[in-house]
Amino acid sequence: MEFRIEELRSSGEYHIWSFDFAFSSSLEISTQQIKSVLPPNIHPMEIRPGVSLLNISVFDFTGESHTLTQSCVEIIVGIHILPHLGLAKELPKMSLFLLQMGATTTEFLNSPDAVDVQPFIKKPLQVEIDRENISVECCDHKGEKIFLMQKQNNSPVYSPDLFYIQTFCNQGDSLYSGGVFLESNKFEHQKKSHPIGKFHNHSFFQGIDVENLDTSDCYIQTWSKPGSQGTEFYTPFKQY
Amino acid sequence: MDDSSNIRPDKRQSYTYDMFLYSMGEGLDEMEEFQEWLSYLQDEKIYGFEASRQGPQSSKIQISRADGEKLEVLNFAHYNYLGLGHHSEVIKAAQDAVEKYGLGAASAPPMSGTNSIHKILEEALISFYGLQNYGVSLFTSGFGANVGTIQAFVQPGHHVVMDEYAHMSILEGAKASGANLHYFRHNDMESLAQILEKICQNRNRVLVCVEGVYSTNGNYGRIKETVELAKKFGAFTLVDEAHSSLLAGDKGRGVAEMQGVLEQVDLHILTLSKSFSGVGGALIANEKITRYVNWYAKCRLFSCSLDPGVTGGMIKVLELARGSEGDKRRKKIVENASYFRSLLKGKVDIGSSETWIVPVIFGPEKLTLGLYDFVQRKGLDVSVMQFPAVPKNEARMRIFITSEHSREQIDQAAQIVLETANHFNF
Repeated sequence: MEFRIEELRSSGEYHIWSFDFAFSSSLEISTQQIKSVLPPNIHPMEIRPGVSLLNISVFDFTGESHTLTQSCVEIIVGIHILPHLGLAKELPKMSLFLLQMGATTTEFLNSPDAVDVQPFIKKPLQVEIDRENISVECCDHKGEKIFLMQKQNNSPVYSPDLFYIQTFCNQGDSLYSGGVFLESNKFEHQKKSHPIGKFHNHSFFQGIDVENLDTSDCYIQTWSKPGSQGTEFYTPFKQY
Repeated sequence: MDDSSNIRPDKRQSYTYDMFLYSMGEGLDEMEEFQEWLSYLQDEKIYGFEASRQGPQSSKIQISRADGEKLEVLNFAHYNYLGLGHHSEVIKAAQDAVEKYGLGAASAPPMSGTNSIHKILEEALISFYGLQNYGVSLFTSGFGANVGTIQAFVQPGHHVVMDEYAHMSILEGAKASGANLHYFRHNDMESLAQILEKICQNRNRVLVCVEGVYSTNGNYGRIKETVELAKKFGAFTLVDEAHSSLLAGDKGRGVAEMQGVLEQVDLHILTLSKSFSGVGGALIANEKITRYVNWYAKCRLFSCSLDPGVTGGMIKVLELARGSEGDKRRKKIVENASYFRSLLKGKVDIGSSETWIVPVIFGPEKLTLGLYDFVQRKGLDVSVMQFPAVPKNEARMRIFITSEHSREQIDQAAQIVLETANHFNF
């Protein structure tokens, strides 16, 4: 793994971002509910007939990460979709269609290295991260609640991992593909015990009814060890 | 895409969230990726799957791996549970049937593909179950028995409610039917009741699908409670006894018999490739249901009948299994399984196993390929499973105990399992 990380670092192909906390949950959601927000040639990855996955991810980027001077939290809402292996750097652990993204600083939102064709909300979000209890609360710039997301497992066993995620997004009729390699000391689990939080029907979710989701139906959850350094190797999007 | 820019992962450990490879786009990328992965594993000589058997599925066999290497292994990877697949009387019965009827049935069952030997098997099965006004629909696979039965029994607008660990064939049947699909948490009657409460108000047909023995965990289904709950809500029940027919219950009629609800289950599904040692599947149900399914199960109507040789062999299997031979082997498999579990309990995680299927949970998916190769080279063949077939971080060896394993073989197998646990630190 060390060798591969070095290869990624030295290739010069990637924007390299450092984070010291990341947290992601994939919630079960009816395919009917998300079909309308996907472009026609993008297909959800169903885990069961009629059941897709809505992904909510949080990255806490450290200051002096890539071209940033301030630390910044990035929020991503995406849908698990079928990959396109012909466009992938390697076999992706998952493919996501990026539905909505946000960040907590104007520096990040104004950085062309961070914001390209992705669907970013223009105004900075307000995000509170509780690293001890593994929870994230996210509000818009006016303080209106978007979500509260918590862990669902109390016995994390962290281990180093490096994997690739393929990403897609659209702008108008144009579809773009990109991807990230993520390296971190992480824990991943599937234990369902209780609801993982509260999601509000905010415009951030693009009209998807998230308020009525049973959030104990969390298919998979991942977080990096709080305070440990993780790295995102990001390839800019290309039109597909 | 420039291939030189690819950063390749260790293919021994690579896996996806979906396990199956898919790809959008017009190219055959997923097939190329799969081919590359397989070739790598074969070149590295760590591919334990698809090893061909050099003889019948007995307790000790020689296998020939995909890389050409031959290994002598203890065989705990097959479900010829009662060892009747190579019983001399069974072989003779199959030979006689081939001689009399030829190799294939040469037509679909409702057309001209029903031979008298199929009727003999049907009658033997009805007599074995001993239920009034019951009939049989024979299928050419256990998978087909579930798909065909469910697709015929429920239609769009109806509901299929499945245990979350139900077999893929139940899901495929439910999908083919066009009915509404629902899952309840494994063996969780509260979860089932919540779903039934919601959907049974609409006075629509509801089919609850469960299994006698769940093949990933080796535990029994809660058939009695499921049937009671289904009856309360006016729903029908389908019990797949693939891993329990000829094994569970006093007479081997499955977990429905064991739990005292043989007559209350609406649809019994049998797989004829496990304890029956042949191939095929069967629906046992009220005659009016089986007659309808005979015609409306598409994979039966549009597929050739069971081949006569296997059918003849299975009639003999059933005869033996119903008699003292069956009683003896049933007793032995229960003893063997209990002994094997006792050798492992407290030393490795065998989950909730209470039957002849014993999982040994080793955890991370990234160990699966290396571990499978290791175990085989140590002289033990097992089955391995990982996410998403089982939950994340619960990858496992699945060990099938048969009545034919000797104490010595069971001791050796347990020893290899413990050595593996020590080697991989689980």
